This record gives sequence, C-alpha cells and structure tokens, in this order.
Amino acid sequence: MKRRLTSLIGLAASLTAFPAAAQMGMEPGAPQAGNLPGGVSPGVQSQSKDDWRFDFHGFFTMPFWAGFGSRPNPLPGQDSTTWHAPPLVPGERGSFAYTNVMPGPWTQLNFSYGTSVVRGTVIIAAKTASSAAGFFNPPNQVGIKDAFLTLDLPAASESKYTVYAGVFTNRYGTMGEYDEGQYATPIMARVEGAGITGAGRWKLGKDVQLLAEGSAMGNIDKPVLGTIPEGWNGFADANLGATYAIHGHLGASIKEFAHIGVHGFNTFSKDNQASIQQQPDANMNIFGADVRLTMKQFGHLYAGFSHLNATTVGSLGGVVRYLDTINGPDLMRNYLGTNSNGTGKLTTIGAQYDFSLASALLGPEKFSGNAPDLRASAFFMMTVTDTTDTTSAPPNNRYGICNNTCRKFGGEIAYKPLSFLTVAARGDQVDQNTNNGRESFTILTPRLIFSSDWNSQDQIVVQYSRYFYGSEVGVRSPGYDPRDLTYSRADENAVSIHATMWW
Amino acid sequence: MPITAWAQTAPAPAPSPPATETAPLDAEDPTGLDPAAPAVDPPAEPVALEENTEPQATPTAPPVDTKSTVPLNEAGPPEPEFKPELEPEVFWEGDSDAHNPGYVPGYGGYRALSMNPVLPRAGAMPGGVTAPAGSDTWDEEWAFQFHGYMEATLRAGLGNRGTTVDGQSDTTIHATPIVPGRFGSFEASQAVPGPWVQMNFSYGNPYVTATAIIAGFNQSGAASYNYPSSQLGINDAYLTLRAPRMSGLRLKAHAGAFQDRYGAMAQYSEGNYGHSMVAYTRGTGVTVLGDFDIYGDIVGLFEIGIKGTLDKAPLGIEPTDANAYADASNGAGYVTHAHFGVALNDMDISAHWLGAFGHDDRLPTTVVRPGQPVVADSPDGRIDTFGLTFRAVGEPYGHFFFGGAHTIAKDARSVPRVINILNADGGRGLMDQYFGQLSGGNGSMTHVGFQYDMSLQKFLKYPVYFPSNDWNIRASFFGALVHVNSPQKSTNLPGFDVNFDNVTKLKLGSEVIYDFVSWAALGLRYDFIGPDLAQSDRGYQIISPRILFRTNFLSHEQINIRYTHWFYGDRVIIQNVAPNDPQGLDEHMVALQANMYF
Repeated sequence: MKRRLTSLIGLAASLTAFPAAAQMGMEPGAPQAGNLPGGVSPGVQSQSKDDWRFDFHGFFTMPFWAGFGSRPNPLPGQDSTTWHAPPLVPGERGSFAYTNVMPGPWTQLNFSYGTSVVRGTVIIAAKTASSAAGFFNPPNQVGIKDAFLTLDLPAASESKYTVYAGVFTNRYGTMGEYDEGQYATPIMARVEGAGITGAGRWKLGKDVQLLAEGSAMGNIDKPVLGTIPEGWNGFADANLGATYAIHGHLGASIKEFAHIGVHGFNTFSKDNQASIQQQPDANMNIFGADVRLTMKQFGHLYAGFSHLNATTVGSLGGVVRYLDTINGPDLMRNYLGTNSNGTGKLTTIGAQYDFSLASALLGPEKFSGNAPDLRASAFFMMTVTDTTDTTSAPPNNRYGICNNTCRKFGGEIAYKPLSFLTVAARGDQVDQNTNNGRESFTILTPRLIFSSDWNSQDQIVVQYSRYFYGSEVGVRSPGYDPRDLTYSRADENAVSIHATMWW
Repeated sequence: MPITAWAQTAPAPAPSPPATETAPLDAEDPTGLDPAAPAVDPPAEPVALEENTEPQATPTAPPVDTKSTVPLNEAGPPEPEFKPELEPEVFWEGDSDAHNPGYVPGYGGYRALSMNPVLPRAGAMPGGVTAPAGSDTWDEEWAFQFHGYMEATLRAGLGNRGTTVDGQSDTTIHATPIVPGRFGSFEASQAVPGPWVQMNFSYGNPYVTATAIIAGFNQSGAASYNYPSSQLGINDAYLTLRAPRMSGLRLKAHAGAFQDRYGAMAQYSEGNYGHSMVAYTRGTGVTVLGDFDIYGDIVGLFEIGIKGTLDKAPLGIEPTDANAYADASNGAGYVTHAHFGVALNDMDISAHWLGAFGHDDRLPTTVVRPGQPVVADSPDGRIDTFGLTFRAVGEPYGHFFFGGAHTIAKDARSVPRVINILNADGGRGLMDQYFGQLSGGNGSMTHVGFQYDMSLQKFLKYPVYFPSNDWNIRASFFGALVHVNSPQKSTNLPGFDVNFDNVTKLKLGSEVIYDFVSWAALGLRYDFIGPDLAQSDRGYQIISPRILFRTNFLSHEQINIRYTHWFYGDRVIIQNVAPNDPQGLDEHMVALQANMYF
C-alpha cells in the first residue's frame, strides 16, 4: 500500500505540486515561479523518484595577507614600514602578470539535488567574506553564480552523453590535472553564460575514445543605457552589448594516456542598445589545440596553444573570457591597448609538468599519497600581441600591460615528510615585455603547508614572497576602478596565511 | 571535564534574543562536528574543548598519528565498495575515479575536454596537491551539517505629529521605530528586535571542518527598498582544525575569516545587551586555542591569534548605502590578541589583550603619482584593550559573569573594524560613539559589565536536577558602565550639548520570565539607560511586557509579541533628530518576532 501511495504521489508530482496541508494560500517555500511549460508545476516537496539525493560540495580560500612597503620620509607618528591589504604587488587577475602566487579570497558552495540521470546545481560564490572585508563592496558578493541542470543521458556502456543547461561555466585549456593549473588561467577560454553544452564520448576500438563538445551560450542581459559606472555595480559599462557565443571541441583519448583536443570559439555582439550607436559590431574568434599526457610514474604534462582574433571588441560582453579578461574592454586594457579600437590578435602557448618522486619510485604501481613524497611542478606561458596600438605616452600608454611579447615561467618544489606538514618553495619570473627587461619581475616564495592528513582536502599555507622588480614595474594605483591605469610603486615583501579547503 | 573557552569563536548573530532559557545548539548532538560552529546560533554554546579535540571513536577514524607509520603505499586505496546508487548506467561526476587517485595526490573525475562546471574556480594548490571538489576520501567519517539562526520581526513605533493637516492622523507609525539605542552605541539595549538570518554550512571530519556562513540583516521579501549592504552574503568562511588528544593538552585552531568574541555576558550568547564586554575581532587569520591540565581540576586556558582585513576602501570611493558607507579613511588593519586564564570546575578567570593597528599610507590625503611612492600625512593608528573576566556557573545559583577592560586609542581614526569594542567598529566607531569626531581617534575608556541569570525551579528542587520541563520563573539582571576620557571635551554640533571627556555612562536592566505552560510564557523587561550620568535629562527608561509562544519548554523557536514603552528624559538625543523635537521620538512600540536557532 505504501509503495502504491508513493507511486501515486510521484505521478501526481509530475503534474502538480502537493502542498503540505490544505491551505488557502501557497506554501511560503514554494518557488516563485509560474506554471512551467508543459503544464508542470514546481513543487519543492514533491519528487518523482525514490533515488533523489542531496549533495553539498564547495571550496574556499581565505588569506590573511600583508604587503610591506616603505615610506621614504615618515612623518611624526608614522612608521617607515607600511602594511597593505591586499599587498600592493603587480598581477591583477585578468592581467598577464597574474601568477596565482597569492590567490585572492574565494568561496563557493555547490548545492545539488538529483538522481543519477538529472541533477540541479546551484552555486553561491563570493570574492570576499563580509566579516573580514575592509569595506562592503557589493560586486564581491557574487551571490548565485551558477544554476544549471546536468543530464547524464542513458547510453550504451561504451559511450556517454552529458548535457549541461542553464547558467554555468565551461573551462578549456586548463593546465592542471584536475584544476586550473599553477597560473589558474585556462589557455583557451573560460566561457560563462546561460545556455547549453552537450558532451559526448564514444569508444573507438580498444584503446581510443572520441570526445566532442558543442555549446551555445549568451548573456542574460546587458547594462542598461544610462547606467552610471559605480563601484556597487562593478563599474557597469553600458557600451557593452548583449553577447553570445558558440563553441565546439573535438578530442581523442588514447589509452587514458594521451588526451588531444582542438577547440574553436566564436563570440559576438550585435546590439543596437549599446551607448555608442555608431560603433561596429564586435566579434572574436579563438582556436587552439592542446595535449595532455598522463604518464603514470613519469608525471603529468599539459601543453597547449591558442590564437585569438578580435575585431572591434569594445562592446563585447564577458561570455568568452580569454586569459581571464572579463570582456572586450578588459581585453583591450590588458593586451590590445586602449587605442587599438578593440582590434588585434593574440597568440598564447602554455605548458605545465607535474612530477611526484614517490610515484616514480613506485611505478607502475599507483601511489596512494599516504606517505612522504617530493613533488615538483614547472610551468610556462607566453603571449604574443599583434595590435595597432603602439601608444607610449601617458595616460593611454601600454605601461604595465602585456606588451609585444610577454612571458612567464616558474617552478615549485614541495617536500611532504609528515602527514601534516609540507615544505615548499616556488619561483616565478614574469616578463611583461620580452624586449624590455625593466618591465620584468621575479618572485621567490618559500612556504610551509599544514594539513590534517596525507591526502587531506585542507591546507593552511604560511608563505613569504619576495618581489624583485625591474625599474618600470608598478602596481595599479590604490583605487579599485578597473579602468584606472595609473601606477604606483609596489611592495617588495608580502606574507600571507591562506586557509583553504575543498570538498 | 569540558571547559569553557573565552571566545565564542564561531560567529554568533549580532543581536541576542531575549534571555530565555535556551538550549545550546548542539545539545541534542553531542557528537557534532564543531560545537563552535554552531556558535552559529545566538544562544551559542561555549566551546567544549575537551569534546572537540577528541577524535570520534569510530573504526574509520583512527588517530592521525597512526597513519604516519603506514609504510609507503602499503595502505593504498581500498577496494571500492559496490554501491548501486554509485554505479548507475551513467557517470556521476567524480564517481568513476572516486577511489582512484590522480597522478598528483587528489581525486578527480572523468577526463573530458573541459572542466566540469561544478569544479571550483581555483588554480593548483600550493604543494602540488590538486583540488578536485566532489571527490571523496576513504579514510574519514565526513559529515555535512547545517545550522543557523533566524529572526524576523514586525515592528511599529508609535509617535505623535506635532501638528496635523487634513487627512493626517495624529498618531504616526514607523518602521524602524524612531527610538534611541542604535546598534553600536552604548545605549543599545536590544529593545527593538532586529532582523537577522545566518545559515552555517559545515562539512568535515573529526579533525578538520570547513564552515561557510551566509548572513543578512534584512529580508528582501519584507524590505521596502533594495539595500545591498544588508545582504552580507558569505560572511565567514573558515577551517576548524582539531589536534589529536595529547597528554594533558587539548588544542584546536580556526583559520580563515571568522570572529572571536571575548567577554560574552551570558552563558551561551553575548547576553542581554548583545555585546561582549572586552572586545571582538573580525578579519582573516588564525586563532589557536587550547587548555592544559595544571593540577587536579585546575585547568589552564590560552588563546592567541592574528587577523587582518582582506582589503581597504579604495581612495576616491563615495560612501553610499550600497557600500555601507565605505570609509576610505580606514586603512588596512591588523589585530593580534592573546588570552590566558585558569578554570576550576565551573569557574574561570581570564586576562585578555588585543592590539589593533594600521600602517597604511593609502589614506585620503595620499598623493599618488605614477611610479612614485604614495605619501600620506596621517599618523599610524593603534587601539589596545586589556581585559579581565570572571565567570561562574553552578547549580542551583545560576550563571554569573563580571568583566571589563580598559581601551587606549592613539590616532585610531584609520584603524578599521578588525577590533570592535561594545559593538563600535574600529577607531571610527570609537570616535562616533565615545571620543568625538575631533579627537583624532585618541582617548581611553574603561568598560565593565555584569550579568546574572537564575532559575527559581532549579533553586527550589536542588539537589535534584530540574530539566526545565515544568513551570518556572527565570530572572536576569545585567548592567554595563563605561567611563570615557577624550581630548575632545564636547561636541562641536550646534544645539547639542554632549560631552565626550570625563563622561560616565551606565545602563542597568532586568528581565523576568514566567513559564506557565510548555507552549507559552510571560515576560517583563526593564532597562535604565544613562548616556551621561552628569546629564540626567539625557537618560530614559524602557518597560517591555511580552508574551512568548513556542512548541515546548526548551524548544529552539519562539514567537514573541511585545509592547514597549519609553519614558524619556527632557533631552534625549538620537541621530538625525534634534533634542526636544516634539515629533522626534516614538514612545511606544509593538513588535512581533519569530526566531529559531537550529
């Protein structure tokens, strides 16, 4: 009888919602939604199957940080050493100089509910923690960042089809094995928007699998005409049009050893509601290819290249984000130049190699991670710009941005002798213009990493970073308007304590 | 013997509920992952260090140190247990490799052309460890916990128009009521209940727990306008690490963005005034706390920590509602703090020191020239607080707290809210509430307070334990006194005769609750507020009868309906309302509040 009732409820739930009890109004917790297409009502307490489950995952990293500068002529009551939070060092996210040596605060909470076939996921995120912020900056509380469905379609055992629909992020060209890599910057693009992505995997023979992905995405809206760029709206740019993107990817996985992919993106804006009516439509194309080798005891290697061709991207919104620039104007600020009219080309190559001594010694047997280990990582990225903006005079100069050819490389070595302790050191070299060494800088970062176990998912990282600057290296002035391109002297020393956990 | 830590290390809501007898959040779940995190609720239970630091004795959670002796790879990944729900015809993210570590230690999902949308926006972790969220580990009992607190209120302040025109009633109705006692001022008494919601999401095992708290001091569904800064969003995000038990020593640490509160007046919350008598800290950083056996039942306590702000308000920012009136005159700020004490059974006495400072040259007078050092002429600021607290809890006499501190501020204008004294944020808060705008952030103040809570039935039935399952009368008595010295003698605002130097402030109050049935209680609260004992005409009294409804004697929820009447002196002052303004202040308030902690 119970089974029958359950099935009846399941049947009814697909047609209409069940309130908890008879009442004249709706349940306060019922979604603020009308009837869904197809005559289905969203009832939060109904469910159509018995195997529904709730999942909670997330990640956060919270830094205690201080950059130390100096006052050349301290006044009475002033110490000659200054303390800055965040440290005044070059490498804003979105600029080529970003190294991820000292990542900023980030929290995301992933709430999922679903079955083995369909899941709904909502991600709440923030770039700050309000209790620790020096001021309340609304854009830092991202709020509901993503909301999407995942459909794992039933298929034969040798194939797999997955569909993502809603608002979500796709990342292509990530240099780490399971993360975004040491630079936390995808080589191809980060795609954020509303839309749909379909992915498929088919087995071709014994050791080869074919992979394909295709997607169409777009903005939910655009900054309305008349919007005044202010801090609370993240300096919204009414000149941006509604932006759309399509992208496709083909790849092959050979013996779970080599993973090869080719990628193509097109993003465009053809909006007549941009504030500059005479501006041409924006268009940007990216294509690239990459290879990932999972070489068992010999390590993990990623290498990729991408080529971007931008045409008048001044009104291009942030759906396809190249090297983590947030939109067309940001691409101009960081690479093409503010006098480029948004037209230019970029070519980027990147590589990362990760090695584990314990894995090498144990190979081909798999290393569990439950023992001392020495790990090393080497990473590299270079971007070549081809732009018409050759301005060198302030205020629209190319000072502090990727100029001609920019290059960065580095390495990290980490020794974990105890379950709770890792001793590590990282070195980074950043050349913002390979033709001008005065725009280069070097970072040396020794680290102590505390964790709760060998394979724990938590870290407290205590680190010191020493910056060695060329004479023409500066940090964007202590404002927070991203359009501000004036620079001041940077801190040479920084300490941080990062608390991080992922689950 | 669980002992009480000084700080309510986990963030509790800003306001505290009426002093009803409340169960600690995890009272029904003594094996909770982090009794501190529940601190989540206002009647937050003090941290029971001994319980926290002891790993739960489950077969799957052996002590950490035994794992360190595992020979290289001998343990290896266990054989995956067949779980039908994890072996569907299709893949779950991560399930295909859930028990199969990647090359770099860590566990990932099935390799595709792109990263899974659920994976975090994060680069490689320091030390070469990857960060695949959604994967599991095989060796601990991981658990998800959801706690929180909510209070939602309907409030109506009733005042009178001085003169009326056609179509106007003589009675005005205000929300929020126009009454003195703004949050952050000495006069705050929690007479006006405020909206507050926080949701604590925790995930962890006996050794480590991550907690993220989403909070807001407004509820958009009831708000009359969009007030972005009332939606705090992710307010805290921190790790709790618990060390394996060591002989005579118990240790744990918090790291990340969280709050430490010292001098909480009540047993499980900040008390009837909703502020800690010593200070509390905000920011990101680390606090290590522990206790150690001294002799017999005598236990030593200690806490040390360092924190800083994540950022500072940038130069040129315009203070508006949207950014909570961001103050570019605040620099980046840091606070170090240390606390030592001794506990004997249910008594403890503790000494506290907190030192906050800022050495930031990015202040409004800063000169910024491309390529040149920034130059500011503001002096570096500093705030030091030295405190002493005493707490005793014992059947049948109740709970008693007495404590206070002495705060010295020097050029503190630029010190941000990494330190908070009596809910006044940083140097700017001290200037607004105590020292005056022309003080330059200089001054000193001594602040002391007490609270005593007792239960008649516990007293009458002693030594038989009374589990609060029958009628009862409970009473609380509380008070706070502040003496201020400031280089600014009085306000410079014309028409306001307000002194800042050599001022003594006093507030006293009491609340009595009569639990006559399991689902309802009657209460009465009285408060005297004296903003300056030398200016008696600025003082006032508050009487607030109330009726409380709930599902049981010791339930976690409450609906209370209260009427509050203010008896004002001749010259009561609140912000934006001039003294003696005939239509300035509401004398009556009715309020309905629903609250629950879980």
